[in-house]
Amino acid sequence: MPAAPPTDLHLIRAARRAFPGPAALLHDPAHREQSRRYLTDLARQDGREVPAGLFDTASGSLGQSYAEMAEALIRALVTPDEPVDLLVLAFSRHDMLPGRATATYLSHVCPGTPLSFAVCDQGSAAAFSALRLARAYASSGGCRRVLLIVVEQTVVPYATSAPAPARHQGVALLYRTNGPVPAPGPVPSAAPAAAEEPVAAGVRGGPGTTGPAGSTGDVLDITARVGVVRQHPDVAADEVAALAGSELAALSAGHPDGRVVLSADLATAWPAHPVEGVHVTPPGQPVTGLWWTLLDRLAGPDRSGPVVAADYDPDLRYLCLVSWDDADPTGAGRPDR
Amino acid sequence: MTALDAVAVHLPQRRVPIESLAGPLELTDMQVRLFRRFHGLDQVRRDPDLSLHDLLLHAATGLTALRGQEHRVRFVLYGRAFPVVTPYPVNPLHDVCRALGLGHAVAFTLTQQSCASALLAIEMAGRLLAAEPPGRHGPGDGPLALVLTGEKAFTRDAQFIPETSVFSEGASACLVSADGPRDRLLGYACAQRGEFDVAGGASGAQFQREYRPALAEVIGRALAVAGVTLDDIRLVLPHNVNVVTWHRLCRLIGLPRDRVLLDNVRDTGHVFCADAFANYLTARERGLLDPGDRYLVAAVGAGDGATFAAMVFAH
Repeated sequence: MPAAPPTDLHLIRAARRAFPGPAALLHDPAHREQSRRYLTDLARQDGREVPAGLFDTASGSLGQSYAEMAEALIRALVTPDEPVDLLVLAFSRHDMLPGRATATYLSHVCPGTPLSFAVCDQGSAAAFSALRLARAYASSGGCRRVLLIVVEQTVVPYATSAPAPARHQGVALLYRTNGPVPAPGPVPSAAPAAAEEPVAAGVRGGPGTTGPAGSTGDVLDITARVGVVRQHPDVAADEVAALAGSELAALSAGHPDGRVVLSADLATAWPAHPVEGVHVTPPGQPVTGLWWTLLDRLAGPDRSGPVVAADYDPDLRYLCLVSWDDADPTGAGRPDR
Repeated sequence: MTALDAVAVHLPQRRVPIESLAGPLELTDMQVRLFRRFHGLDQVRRDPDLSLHDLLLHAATGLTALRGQEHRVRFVLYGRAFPVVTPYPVNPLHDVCRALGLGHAVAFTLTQQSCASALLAIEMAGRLLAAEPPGRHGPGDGPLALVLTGEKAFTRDAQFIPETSVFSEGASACLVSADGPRDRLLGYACAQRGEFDVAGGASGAQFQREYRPALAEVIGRALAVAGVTLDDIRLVLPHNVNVVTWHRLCRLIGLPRDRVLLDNVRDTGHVFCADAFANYLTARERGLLDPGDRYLVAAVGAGDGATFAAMVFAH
């Protein structure tokens, strides 16, 4: 069977936000008890314990809900006249309401009632898999818009060797496929302010920012086409530099003006990485940080020219890359690998 | 066209009568009798000595067609009902992949469609394979995806659905190709009802009212996508939630009961995402499918939110 012709995905808008904890739903004692029971049983399988009393009261130590974070991003990003056909939620650490079919709930709150599911158990590579799945899905036709949401939150209620992210944070990326799409209406106003916190100093929207003034997050208009998505499984730490170097060279070939965004974990695994035209994501957000920073490159004042984003998950050993170029709705995409 | 090249299932040998669940689950005698007499449930499979890793590995090693073909596997998709089943960052999926010699494959979990996640995984496996760049492979040597399912009854919500069903532990493994000759996927349909989530606002009574019509709707849509009618369907492989739900659905859509394979409901109860594969193997073992037969697989994921899904295959 011949490979299906790849369908281009054009990133048209994105939202990114940080969220203070805890999840609003955890103010309800019944939901706290349900989460306590689930997480206690979850931890017990591996000989770990959830501290007694942790769920007695709603507090910041309880962490966040990916449903609440993603819903806020959707409401900020997607207008009612932009029906979405596919929604993929990517995460690595679980949230504090882990029994919910969160993606199914998000289908209910997202315009278009899209087919929705979550990708996980793949560390930071899950966001790249979500992108591959989205393009594979779109290639069958009939898909106008795709929404990818990447989230992480800081709390797991048991001892773990994995370092916690610095804060609860999410990035949502709205894509359209090839072909004419009616112009959207106004971008919706911000999601409920109680769910958000100001973005860190130095983080700003590009010239396309349409989020509210004094923003608690950004909504950015972007014109970028997904080029190549590559995932290399089982890359040992001592192989990262050579493979990442060759891949970046291949993806940047012919584009001396190209820019690169490296995740903090990839930069750590590749200390001698190039520096010219390379921006390294600040540490502390192993799953969402790359996508957050990438938006600055795609929407910033120097946004012309191709961009390559690359990441390495040191635990699961995935090296992933995605290239972006200026949108060209008539151009042919290149297959993933 | 997406095809199922081979299927294997692993169920724990240990059988637990549903009466034994009454104490741990705080079920009344009446509730147990309801499960047995009304819902047609008898026993479940549970083994506290088998970890999730064990279940997945047993299922995959039972897939004899995988042996010698590991190099062709590009993707491993783990379709799972419960979104989170191990403390972070424990990752049995990747551990199992390494044990199987599949460390070179891109592996991830697809979830949050509850027990309908397995059908999603088949659908997405086919799409990923179709998007693979053309290679120089000959017939029977193309890229493959391995679709896994498997769950432990590790918490109360994973042990039973009140007044509806009881869960068995178990796992399945399925080799998917983009062009295999058998069990070709003709149509898939899915409907999600997020309003039945805890934050969605819809009531349990509304869910009960809409359950069967919603399942009937996706079945009809899958048939339409496949270009067949219900009369063309030789066999239905159901989710093993209980017998009465399917009897009522049969009445609703005009499907003879004897075309629904319900025998495993009594033997295992609901094996999360693995029902479809367990029922498929039963159908094969009993010679219920002839070459060319169309059959339908249906699944409902219900808990927080609901997902209804159906697939039509040509055997």
